[in-house]
Amino acid sequence: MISRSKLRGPIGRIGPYAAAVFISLGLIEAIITGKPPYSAFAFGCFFIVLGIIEYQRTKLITYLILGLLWGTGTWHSMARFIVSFLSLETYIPHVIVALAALVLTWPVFYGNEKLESNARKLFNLAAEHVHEAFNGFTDRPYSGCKTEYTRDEISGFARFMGGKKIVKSIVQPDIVILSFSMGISPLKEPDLQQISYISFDNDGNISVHISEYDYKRFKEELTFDQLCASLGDVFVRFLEYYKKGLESRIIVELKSGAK
Amino acid sequence: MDFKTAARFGVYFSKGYAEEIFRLLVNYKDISASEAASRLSLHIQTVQDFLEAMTSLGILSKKEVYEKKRPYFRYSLKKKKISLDIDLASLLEQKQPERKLSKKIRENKDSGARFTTARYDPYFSSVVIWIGEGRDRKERKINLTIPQGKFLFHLPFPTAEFLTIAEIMQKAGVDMIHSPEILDIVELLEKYGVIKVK
Repeated sequence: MISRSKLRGPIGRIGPYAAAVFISLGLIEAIITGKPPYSAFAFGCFFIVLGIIEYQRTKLITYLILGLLWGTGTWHSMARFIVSFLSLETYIPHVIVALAALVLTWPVFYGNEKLESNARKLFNLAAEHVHEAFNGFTDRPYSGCKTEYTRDEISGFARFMGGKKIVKSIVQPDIVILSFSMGISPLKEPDLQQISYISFDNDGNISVHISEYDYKRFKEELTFDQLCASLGDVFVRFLEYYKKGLESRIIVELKSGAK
Repeated sequence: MDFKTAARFGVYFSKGYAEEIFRLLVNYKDISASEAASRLSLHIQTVQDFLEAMTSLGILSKKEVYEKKRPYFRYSLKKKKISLDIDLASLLEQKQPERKLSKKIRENKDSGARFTTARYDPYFSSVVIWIGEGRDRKERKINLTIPQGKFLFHLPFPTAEFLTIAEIMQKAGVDMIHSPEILDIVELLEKYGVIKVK
């Protein structure tokens, strides 16, 4: 039996389909008219709109810059057929700038994509064990779990999870916070109320916070306290794997959350 | 003396003319409002109100006299020493505290309350609630003490099992000595629909 995701899909998934559609339209237009400026214009608009939408969601300027460069680059590729001062000599520098921007922003772009993808997997794993949908959302952290660990173990666990871009780790003297989000990027270091996180204090107390944006990404209004408890259980399990030196099981289990 | 009576005393004693009126009352056997007003160059109604208030508070006695054209009152001191003795402990919620602590509560669904943690601390520093309806709705921010913040941090979620106040306090590690302030915040949040009682 194939288990379907309880989350709504990410908007970025339409990228490949949109590209296929616009390329097809471009070919059809080229066959009919000899050149596809209108398809290229629409394709460019798509990149720009996607860049704006992703920027508004993640608050990372990277998406806006890349969207604008690729969008205007797509316009530029066909504009030489319409505008006389644009040519291949002006298009090539535009492409170089767009590629340079991608290379320079790659750590942020790739880092955020990985964090978001892993956040979706974490939420899918948590949602597997929640079968009721009585809502009950609150923006308070859920405090129900308690487990045992040393300071070194939890710090090491945080560094491991951060290094694998599963979460963004914040290690403080009194508390360790692992943040993740399908909305505002944790790389922006936003106010904790705006993103989801799990915190571990020095006494073994665990708190789970799911942001309103992340909760609304679920197709159903899953019973909130059960969802928080389940998410806490996921991280407790991952911590146990880490303490036993079974980090690879974390990666394997996380991959099973990809739907 | 209860708080309300003491507050009334405070209102009248803080008047600039209070000491002068009492000086007259101590030195005269009895005095009327018009005699005191003319002596102190005050409006008769002002003095009348003061003397009536002091009578109602048991400091003065009055008797009606029938002289000249119409009857009027003469006021005299009943006691020459006034002490304000307020027992603040009487404000403490002591009515069946065990019964109040066994109330089962949890957060109310869709209350709209916003809880704020003090950065990374495991307790809330404040809660913002909505008061009023429609366009008259206003935000009210309540700053919490640390015991209150810890208590609310462990308040059961809207779909979780109800827990008694005592159980939540134990879970939060809040000492019973703080139960009056915990009951106070629970009462307030219950009033504004943030907390639901079973």
